[in-house]
Amino acid sequence: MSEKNMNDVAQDGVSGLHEAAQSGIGHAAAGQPAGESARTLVLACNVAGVACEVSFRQSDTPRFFADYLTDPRAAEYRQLLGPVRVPYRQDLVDACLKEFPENGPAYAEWSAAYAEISNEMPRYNRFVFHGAAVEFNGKAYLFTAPSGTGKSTHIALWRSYLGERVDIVNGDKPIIRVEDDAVYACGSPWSGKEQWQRPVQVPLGGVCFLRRGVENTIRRVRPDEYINAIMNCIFIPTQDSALAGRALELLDQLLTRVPLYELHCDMSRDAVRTSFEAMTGKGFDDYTLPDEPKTPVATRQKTSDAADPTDVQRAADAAGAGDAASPANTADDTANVSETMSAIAATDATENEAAK
Amino acid sequence: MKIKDGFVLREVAGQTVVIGVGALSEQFHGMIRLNDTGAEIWKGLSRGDAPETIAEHLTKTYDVDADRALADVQAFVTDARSHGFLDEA
Repeated sequence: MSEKNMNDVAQDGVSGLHEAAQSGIGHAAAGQPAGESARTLVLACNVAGVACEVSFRQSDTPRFFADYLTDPRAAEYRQLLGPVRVPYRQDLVDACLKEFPENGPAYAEWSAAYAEISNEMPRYNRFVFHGAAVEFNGKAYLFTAPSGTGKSTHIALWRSYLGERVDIVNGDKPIIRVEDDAVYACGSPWSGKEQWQRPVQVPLGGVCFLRRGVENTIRRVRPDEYINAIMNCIFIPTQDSALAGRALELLDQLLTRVPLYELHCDMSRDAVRTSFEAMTGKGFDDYTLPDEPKTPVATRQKTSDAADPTDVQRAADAAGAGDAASPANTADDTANVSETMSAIAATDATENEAAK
Repeated sequence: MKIKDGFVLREVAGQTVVIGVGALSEQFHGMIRLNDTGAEIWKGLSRGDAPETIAEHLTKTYDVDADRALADVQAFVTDARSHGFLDEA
């Protein structure tokens, strides 16, 4: 969470992005509605090792992708997976503009690209996970919770007590990459209103389900205890059964290969000690001083109080069927189906508790 | 009678999970979790197997008599139907 990353979208990468858009693959897209003079350009970016070619019309749009823009002519670009080609989807842009007019058209284009790219990620053994990931000592630690519970606050506390040893991976929507050697948490251009992100890929050391509590406690949990909760957290491409199935297979890999924890915490120093020591296996006192926070928690002026339209779309509920294994229990199980089925409230509103 | 098209079933962390995709995803959000026998029945119904066929299969896999197995399959079918998971044709 360097100062640069905690601040506005970096300005310095913008010119490079724009250049990429205008050269190489930049071209007017076909299918532009008659009478519209807007020129459709294409920017090239590297999202978690996947080349993405995003059509856009607003000159401000590349700014949202700043740290991820790449030169499509470079040799490195051809080493990436993909490309995912994101056509200009006027319907998605319009829908976002209608819902969040105050955020402007460039924001709408950036949001529309999120939906398209998230859908394609399982094809490349990746999926979008709604949570906040930090890096410490070469490992990533991913915190997840319903919005408003305080995951942004918790990672900001890690930063404030542990200082520059802790860096951000992504504050809202890291991409999980599943490989034979490790499961990685990767940065992405979509990182919530704080825009805490870095274009990195870090081996994942643990996933922590965060709950508010009066005492700070943490325990390891079994994957099956948290399936319902975690299904809320992942982006599943529900328009394509093969990709949806692939996303579930990748989730299985995440749940069975990465340690899972449940943390009950307040907003104190002890909360950080509790999660840090359990997840990293290190002594908190070896990495911090016994005084007050020494690194101020950076804050960033919000551009809007509106809910983030890039929020993970699938929400289930916490009700789950039991583990019964005899035929006699099937009726009970299907009875629970109704509870599970009926719930889909997208709960993600603003996270006003963040970065206080 | 058959489970509607548009459900995806996978093992996730040892649990059988079913989600709706395509048009069904608009109708059914969230997911269905099935136990082992529930998963067997679901798979049978997805193939369009008759309840008797599925029940017979269950008696070979689990320690359950034919009458009980059939009653369980029928109860499952009733539930699945009430949730709109079945194509009756």
